[in-house]
Amino acid sequence: MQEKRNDLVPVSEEVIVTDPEILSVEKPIPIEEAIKGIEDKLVYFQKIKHLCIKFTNPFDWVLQKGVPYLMESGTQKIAIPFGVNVDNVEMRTEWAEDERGRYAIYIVKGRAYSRKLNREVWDEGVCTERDKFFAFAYGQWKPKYEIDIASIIKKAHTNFYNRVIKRLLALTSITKEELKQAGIDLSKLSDIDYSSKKDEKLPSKPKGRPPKEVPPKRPFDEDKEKEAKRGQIMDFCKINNLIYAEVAQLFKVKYKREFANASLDQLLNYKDYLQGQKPEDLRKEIAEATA
Amino acid sequence: MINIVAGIDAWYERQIKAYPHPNNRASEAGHQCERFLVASRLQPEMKRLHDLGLQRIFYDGVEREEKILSLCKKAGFVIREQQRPFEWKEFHLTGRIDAKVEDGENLIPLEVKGCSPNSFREIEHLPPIELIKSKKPWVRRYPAQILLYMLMDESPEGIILFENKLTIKPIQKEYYLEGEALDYAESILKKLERVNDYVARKELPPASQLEDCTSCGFFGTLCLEQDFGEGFDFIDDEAVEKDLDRIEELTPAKEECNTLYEKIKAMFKGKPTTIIRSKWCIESKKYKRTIFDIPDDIKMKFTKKIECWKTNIKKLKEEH
Repeated sequence: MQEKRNDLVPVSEEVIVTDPEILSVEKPIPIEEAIKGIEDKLVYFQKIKHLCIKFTNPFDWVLQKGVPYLMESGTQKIAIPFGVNVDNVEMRTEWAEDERGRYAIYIVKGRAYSRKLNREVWDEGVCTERDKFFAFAYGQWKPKYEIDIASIIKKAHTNFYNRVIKRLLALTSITKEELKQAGIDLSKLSDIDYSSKKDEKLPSKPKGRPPKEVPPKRPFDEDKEKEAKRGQIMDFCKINNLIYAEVAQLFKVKYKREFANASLDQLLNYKDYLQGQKPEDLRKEIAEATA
Repeated sequence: MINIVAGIDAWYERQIKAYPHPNNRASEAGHQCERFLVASRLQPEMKRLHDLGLQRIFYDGVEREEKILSLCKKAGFVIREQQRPFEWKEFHLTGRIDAKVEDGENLIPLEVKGCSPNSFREIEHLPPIELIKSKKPWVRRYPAQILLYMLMDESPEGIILFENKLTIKPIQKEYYLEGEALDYAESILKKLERVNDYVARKELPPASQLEDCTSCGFFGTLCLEQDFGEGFDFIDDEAVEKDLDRIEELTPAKEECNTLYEKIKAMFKGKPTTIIRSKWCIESKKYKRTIFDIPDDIKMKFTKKIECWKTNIKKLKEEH
């Protein structure tokens, strides 16, 4: 008698489905129809694109290295007829590092919906503290306290708006030919090059007899330094998610006076004090000071 | 060659600064948006700095104020308490008045503003309190500013002196703490109370969509969303298109017709009835029309605005 083998897998009876209802699947669309559908959509988007351009004027466009670019003014004009609503917008900060140190990247993300096209698009816009337009002038990088962070956030926001609205209305990759066809006078478009102004040297000072001695530090310079320190405190608040008004209140408790009347020494000490604290400890202290 | 323009602009750029303030400001109190007023106090760091163009205008404003006040002095007016600071603790309100002008025994708060020819035209024809309905957002804030100074100074009268930047023509708008102006001042104080509540709770009021949102320093940093409205209607009506095409065809003829009509009218005005080549007869008759010659101050009292509809037909760009 043959021995029972344990290494073999038990076999079960195969079930063959024969019910025609279970077997029926959706009929595939013939390839010709599918292509026709895509072609129709392309024609439709082409029409939207064409109409959008007609709502703009030549001053809403610039040429960047010969390629047409729609500016914010133009995007706003186009968003109105198509009933665009931009919502679910959020801003977040990420950090990166380069040879000049740590720097923030601001990212704005959200949705644009067109009531007329019943279509929605999600996208994001980015701007960093290394953006040359805000952080670089006259051939050199600006110190951090001279950079207006709010302008950088705003640029990320503008970039987001421009991207999301353009994608929503099929306005990406516009050619000069398309502008011309929609009646835009190409001769009125300006060609811009962002690099030129920023690389300029500081405007030359009028020539005159050099001063014989270094003039004493004027109160004006001190004011400037005060402003700079105050700017650093503002940045510090933003980075650590602290409310400036509360930080100012803490200053008032510590120094018994308003920021506006602060001496340079007080501001410097205060800045060092803030930076030496952990944000969570600082939040507690601020809460106590403002209670 | 030295570049004077670049030097001046670099100087202007250095003057662009943010001035965080813990209190409400009289100059901003008339701002429509409560979120702006609260954010200005709680999160001034999120407000975008103004641009070079606006800085030039601000600088001009400071210089102009000096110039106008000195002109007032030359004209024999007694100007006092220039740049006097005010504080109203109850409303966390501060401000700095341009000056006060002596009127007998009274000292009247005085604000000095320079404005573009376009704004000047609008301001000139509006009653003082109606400036709150101006098309220009910055003009809408002026009445609140002077009225708050008047309240803080316990002065029943106040003046805003405007100067046209092009023609240098001055006009004065007089404010009295009574009637509509007083109601408006009270509404501003109530608004400041709401702002103070939000500040105390360290909360921002919800964002509201206003027409001048996109030019606000907080748009894109604290106010991120925008609704562009319901959109246009896109219709495919051939009959309407034909009518519009016909209007376009006839427009040059209509213009030519008007020009010729005016020419003929001028040619035969006051002349006896004339027959032209046995074909046309032109009569010029004198008639009397009733007009009402009402002085401006009385006319102003009966002025009211009614809503009307205006239809503009604009052709989109021609396709090539």
